[in-house]
Amino acid sequence: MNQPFYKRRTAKVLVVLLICFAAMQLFRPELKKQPVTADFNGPENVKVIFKKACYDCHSNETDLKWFDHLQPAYSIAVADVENGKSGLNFSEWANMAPGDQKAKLFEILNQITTGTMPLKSYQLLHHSAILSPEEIAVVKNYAAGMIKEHPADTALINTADKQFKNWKIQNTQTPELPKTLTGIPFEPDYKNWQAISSTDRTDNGTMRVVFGNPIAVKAIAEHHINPWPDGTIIAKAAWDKIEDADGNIKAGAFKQVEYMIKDSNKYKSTKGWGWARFKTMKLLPYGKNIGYTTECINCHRPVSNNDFVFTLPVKQ
Amino acid sequence: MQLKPQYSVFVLLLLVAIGCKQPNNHAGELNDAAGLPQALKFDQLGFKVITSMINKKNATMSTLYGNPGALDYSKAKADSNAKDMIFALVTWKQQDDERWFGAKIPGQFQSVEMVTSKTNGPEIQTSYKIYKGKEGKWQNDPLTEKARIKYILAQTASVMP
Repeated sequence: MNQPFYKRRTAKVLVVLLICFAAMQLFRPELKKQPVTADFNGPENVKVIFKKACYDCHSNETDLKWFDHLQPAYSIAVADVENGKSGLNFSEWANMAPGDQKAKLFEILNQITTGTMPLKSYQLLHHSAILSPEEIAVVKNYAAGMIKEHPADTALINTADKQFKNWKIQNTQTPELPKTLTGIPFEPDYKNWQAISSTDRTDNGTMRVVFGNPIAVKAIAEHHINPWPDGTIIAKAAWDKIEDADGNIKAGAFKQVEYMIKDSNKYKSTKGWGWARFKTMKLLPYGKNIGYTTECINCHRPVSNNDFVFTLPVKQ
Repeated sequence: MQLKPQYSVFVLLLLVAIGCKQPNNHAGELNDAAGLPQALKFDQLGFKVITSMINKKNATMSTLYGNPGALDYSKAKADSNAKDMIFALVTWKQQDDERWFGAKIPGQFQSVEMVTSKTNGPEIQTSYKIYKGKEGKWQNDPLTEKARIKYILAQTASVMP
């Protein structure tokens, strides 16, 4: 006697679910069609890989699978594509300056090698997005070929010399401190903090020193850096590399200083960190709108399991 | 052998777990190889960063530190009003940054070289010592001393607004 009742209830539930599913299909967020204006201009063997693995979410040539058209997958796909394109759009690649293209390429490569991209949730049903070790090697080779290190030209040296002379004059002045759009002021004290590492960036011709404020240094000494404690500030200053004929490299013109400021409450919406970058001697705050932090976080995603910090700290 | 349907869910979850495994990026770790010998108590010297450099031939990278007198000297490049100066040049072997393809970071700690310059009336006394390796001790190096002092004093400060 129980069996038919059970069966009837199952049927009811199924019908309700089916109606819900059908109703969901009526909701169709628009996936805007945009033309390909400045497609990726790298070599064909690299482009083939990007097309296969990345273009569905990172270009104006989105090709959704049949099951992506069914709700709720469709809404997820549309949101993924919109998010994806805002961070990287291969259809607008050639609009970037060559230097920015190179920087983007290394960012892409590092997102791939660390398994940050393509998204795991996406890979599950879209196997074409999974890159084989051979395909990763092709991208790596292409990127490595773009690393060009050579003795500095006179322009780079002159810029550095001029900046150094001006800096000594400005040293005595205390101008008003610039702020980012998120309200983070430039912190001039970083130069008095302890260095916690340094980096040699062969991919963009800069060298960097990473500083930690006293809270950061204490956290390193106690080895409590994942997560970093509130109050931590990490500052990274970057200079041009000036190389001589013997391969000795010294710091040239100051490029920028970047900060990560830990406050798990205040910066809850941006992974617990305040993000700031001040460029050139004018200390121009980076970012056209407050959305610039998304850019910071996306690039730092490969180290999301390390409290979004790239630096491997050195104990003094 | 036919798998029961319940098992296929298990197998699927297992595949997802494998797929989610991230390459080891040493999360939460310190750069132990590059750490300075504790015996140096370097952090207690209160030095500030003056500049940094890279030597491609030796695949090393260095950071030059100093006391306020040394920093002033490297900024001004004038020894007319030379104060007491202490410079410390820390050198590491470079290693590839596993967290960023295209970057190199400090690897094995190599040495600390210290140059001290004291004014004694009209006289300037400059001395040099070097601490090599993790289990090292302070030593003199008469062969290279002169060249190293010259090199370290010739460095200009990195511009830090």
